[in-house]
Amino acid sequence: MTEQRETWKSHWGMIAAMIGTAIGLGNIWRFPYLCGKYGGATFLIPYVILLFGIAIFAMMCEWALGRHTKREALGAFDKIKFPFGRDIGAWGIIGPFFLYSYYIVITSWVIFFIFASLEGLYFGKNTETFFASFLGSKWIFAVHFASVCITSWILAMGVQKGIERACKIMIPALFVLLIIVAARSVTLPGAAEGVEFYMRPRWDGLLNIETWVAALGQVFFTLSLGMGAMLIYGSYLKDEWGIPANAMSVALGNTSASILAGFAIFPAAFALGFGKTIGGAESIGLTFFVLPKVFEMMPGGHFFGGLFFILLAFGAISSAISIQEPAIAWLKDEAGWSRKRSAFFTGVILWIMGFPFILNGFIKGTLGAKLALLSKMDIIIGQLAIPVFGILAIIAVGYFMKDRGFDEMNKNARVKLSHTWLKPWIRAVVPIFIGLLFILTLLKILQEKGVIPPVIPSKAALEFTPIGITPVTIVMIVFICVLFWGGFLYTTVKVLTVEKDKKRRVKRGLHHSR
Amino acid sequence: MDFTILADARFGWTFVISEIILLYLLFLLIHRLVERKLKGK
Repeated sequence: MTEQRETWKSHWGMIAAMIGTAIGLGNIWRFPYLCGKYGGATFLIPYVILLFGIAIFAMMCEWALGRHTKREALGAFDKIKFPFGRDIGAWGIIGPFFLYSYYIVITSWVIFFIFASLEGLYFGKNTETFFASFLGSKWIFAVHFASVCITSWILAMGVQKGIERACKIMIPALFVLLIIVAARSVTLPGAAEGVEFYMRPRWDGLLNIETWVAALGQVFFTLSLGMGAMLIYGSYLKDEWGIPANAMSVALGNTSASILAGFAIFPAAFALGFGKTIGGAESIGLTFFVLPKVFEMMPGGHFFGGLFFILLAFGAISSAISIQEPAIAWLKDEAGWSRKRSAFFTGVILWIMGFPFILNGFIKGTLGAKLALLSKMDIIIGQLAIPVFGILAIIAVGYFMKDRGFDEMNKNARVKLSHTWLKPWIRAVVPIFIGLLFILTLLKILQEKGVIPPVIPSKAALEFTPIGITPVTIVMIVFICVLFWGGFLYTTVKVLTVEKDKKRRVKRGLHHSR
Repeated sequence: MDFTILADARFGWTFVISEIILLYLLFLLIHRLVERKLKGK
């Protein structure tokens, strides 16, 4: 492995690529499903707290670790002499396999819905029943096989750079289309109830520890943290780019898309009579039976539906490629296999690993039962494994890189983070908070099994009774929109202007020296 | 064929947890073997 590493060519390219990689099913499928399951705004509050209090720091730590060591996860943990560094870093290769095994199943749903929308297969039907029947049909085998073939072929041919380039156009287009869908969704008759569900906090739900653990998992999942991906991207970061402002820009850009997806789904879900489904076991497929119904009600629904799922498929496939890539890189570099052989081998294993989730769809039962296994894997990976690995990266920077880690974060940053609060925050507050969340979860499980007496609120009162749009709801809407959409625009413009200023100053300096 | 067991909660949890642990351990073993082979060279 050489010390020389390629870096991003342009700053905007870097931000677009990072947001592009991070925007995908995490925003459009996973966020609305969890947000609905845990009570709309009741989920948003822990989400915002954990995003700013923990996830942004985790992202900065992964970037600092990657940029400082110029290595992928396995080498990075080893280089800073983290105990069992190579074994823990190995998660950066094998961990994404588990994620891919069900992520590609969801990608295959997206691919099916491209054809279903263009052909209008679900038009005039109950979309929930349509989705359930698709899960138990031969189509799922075909699209799953096709999805695995697509990612493996792209990686075997080494054309992933082309896909990433295409994503720079596709992802902003997806964002624009999502705005159109959200506009249609909030203007449907009866949509106000959905807006209220999404934006009115029910404070009692905050006592539910599960909400916090789910929100923690989602902020890590959506930002591609805890999988080694951001660590690899960090190793490509140029030294002159300040980490804090860029991390803020990427995190805000990503969450803006999630918030928008919520506005596209919840108002429509309530307006179209899916309100009762939200929060149930079948809500994991929420996006796939609410959005098609919205497309059906839009003029040119075939076209918009098809286009939306094509764009989403690009986002999902680009993410799936970045998930499959570390294993291929490992087989190529360490085992000395060719790229094609590595891609074929990983493709076959990942295809087989997806089978239990597909066969689960063939059982006779509710939609929730057909998705039971997939939802369990998502809980273990998305809510447990990813945050644990993310925290290990934070500990690695806080305790093993010490001042080098904090200096790396602040290197060439215009707004520097003071060591006075940054050190205790990363070394103590974040690990203690996360540790506490996991301990409380464990206690809750023991309590439910009757091993310990009831001490933690076991069930949050998440029943939703509409009371109309209240001032609190309006304040929440304004706060969330200004914070994320305004914040994203502000930080991105700021980051890019600073970059331009720097270039201009360098040019002027060169001119004088001539 | 009947796949109802896949939706069973106890089977589901056991399946996903053991799959993750077993494959992770298997990968660590392969990784060590590959490293040893590389060192041997």
